[in-house]
Amino acid sequence: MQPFENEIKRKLRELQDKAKTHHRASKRIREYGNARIFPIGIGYHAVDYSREPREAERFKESANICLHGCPECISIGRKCHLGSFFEKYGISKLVLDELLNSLIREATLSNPSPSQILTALNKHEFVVLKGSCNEQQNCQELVNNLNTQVLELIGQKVNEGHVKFAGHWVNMDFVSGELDYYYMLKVI
Amino acid sequence: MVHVTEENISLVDVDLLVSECIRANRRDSAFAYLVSPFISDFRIPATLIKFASNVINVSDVERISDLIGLLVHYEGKVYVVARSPLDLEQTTIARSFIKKQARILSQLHQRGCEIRFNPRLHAKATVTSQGAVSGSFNLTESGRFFNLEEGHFFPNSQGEPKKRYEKTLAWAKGLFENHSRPLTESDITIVR
Repeated sequence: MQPFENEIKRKLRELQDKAKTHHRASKRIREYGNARIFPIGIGYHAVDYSREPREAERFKESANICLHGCPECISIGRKCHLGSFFEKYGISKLVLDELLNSLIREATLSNPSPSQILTALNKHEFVVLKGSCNEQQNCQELVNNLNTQVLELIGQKVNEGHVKFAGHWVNMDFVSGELDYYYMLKVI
Repeated sequence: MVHVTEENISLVDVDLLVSECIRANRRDSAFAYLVSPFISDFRIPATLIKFASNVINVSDVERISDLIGLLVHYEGKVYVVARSPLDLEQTTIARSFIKKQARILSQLHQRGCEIRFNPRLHAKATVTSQGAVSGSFNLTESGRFFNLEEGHFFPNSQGEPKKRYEKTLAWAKGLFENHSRPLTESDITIVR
């Protein structure tokens, strides 16, 4: 067993113990969900602690989780600008990826028609086009198609704004080996 | 084809250059023809340059020269056709404006862009492998944000826009290769 695996198990036990002793904090963390795990984790000012000041501290401790001991862990905001205390915040890249996936889930489309893209842009003011491939030739074709869809929308008027190319990233599924290509468009 | 005005020209411009950086980073052929009689460096609004990516890094880009420099950094080719500051000295255009033009051209040259001049240039266009935008707008802060401008964006996609794109690309290539002269030291000495 690797040392970081011990640390994950230790953290898991700690969370299970906390869930028994701090029912309310545990319940509220589940209610907040993935999408708001970051504000929970950064301290007192991020959540409503008016009823129980200690609760925010428990949130912070519980949400400061590294799921898999990834070497790409990063530190964010070592010092909170609203208080004098130091906040050590280690967050896993995997958690950040999950957070992003959670935030974009509803607006992510695979093989959409132009009208579906425009509907999503009208509804969410952004859309993420996703395509998956596993061979070089397929990938080139996929990237060309996604790129063409993006190009045809750049600068177009939607609602009171214009469509902007706002992001492009690539992920790989470690199990299947498939590459996922993402292109994000936003109305600004 | 997208109608372009002062409301969306800078957005289209930035998106074309960012897309080109992505291509260059993939080692696909990437280039940009920047055709504009007048050129100056200007700040790109933060909303236009925000770009989420694990492929390219645009977080350090603040000005248009940074974005053009980034494309060169990713080994994209950048070709600029403009009016020479040397020629502009013979006109009534303010010396401070000519100095700005000489400064940005000198910077772009140092970053690795190929600069050429045409004394009769009036046309304006940005042409990359992804699309072409042409119209009334100079590559200056006024041309991108303040003046009332009009033009069109032809993506290199399919159908009529692709045909118009190919025509514009052929025109830009011809202008650069056959109808413009290369930069010499005397063109930008006004900056010193």
